[in-house]
Amino acid sequence: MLVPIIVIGTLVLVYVGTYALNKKVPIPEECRDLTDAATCTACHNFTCSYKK
Amino acid sequence: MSFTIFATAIISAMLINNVILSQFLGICPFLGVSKKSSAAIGMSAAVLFVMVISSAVTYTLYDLVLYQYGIPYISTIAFILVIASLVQFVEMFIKKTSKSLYKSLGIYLPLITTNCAILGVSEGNITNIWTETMPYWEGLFIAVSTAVGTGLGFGLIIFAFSSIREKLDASNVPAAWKGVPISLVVAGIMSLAFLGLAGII
Repeated sequence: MLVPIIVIGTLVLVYVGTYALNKKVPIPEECRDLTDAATCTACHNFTCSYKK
Repeated sequence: MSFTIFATAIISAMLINNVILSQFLGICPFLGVSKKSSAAIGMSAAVLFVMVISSAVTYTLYDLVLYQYGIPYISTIAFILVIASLVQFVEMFIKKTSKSLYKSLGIYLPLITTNCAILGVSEGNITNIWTETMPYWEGLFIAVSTAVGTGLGFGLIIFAFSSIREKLDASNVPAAWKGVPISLVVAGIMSLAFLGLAGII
């Protein structure tokens, strides 16, 4: 019973860690205007860093 | 021998069991990011990139951890977490290392977390390829080959579809059929056309 909790817990921690690290890394200057060019309407992803 | 396996896996995944037109996975980006062919190419490249890496990681996780500890029933939730983490990591890595690659892939990377085609390939690798007796490296090779074929098949279809949609925008389509309705008709015809490729292998 403990093993699945440890595996899922580890994966959740990995996800939270990568999410936090990704948020800390700034978007390169010349890529800031990408949102307008993409015009993506395909998903409602809450982790999307391009949403305004 | 390994080239034959590689080629068979690629052709099968790309043309015969196409992820969009035969398995109906990844319909969300297929309809949402196919208005422009440039966006379709970016999305396809990002999907191919993440699909290959996530297939390798999820196959390894299943074979070396989930199966070994008798917990294969958590594979779906584990794979979702692996894919989500991988997308964040890949985005961060590309941000730091290659601005040009980030410019072409960056915007499409977060979309991949919600792309069921990625999860479908990872689950398919376990259902169709993985067996208890298969050596790890052989299974991993077939899984990655299948992911490459699936990613290329996704790219082929989304690019073809976006090109047709660009042409349709400039065509004289009846008002009631403009936009999504005519696109769905086109998707249906493409699906029927791909049905003709069944039985090649």
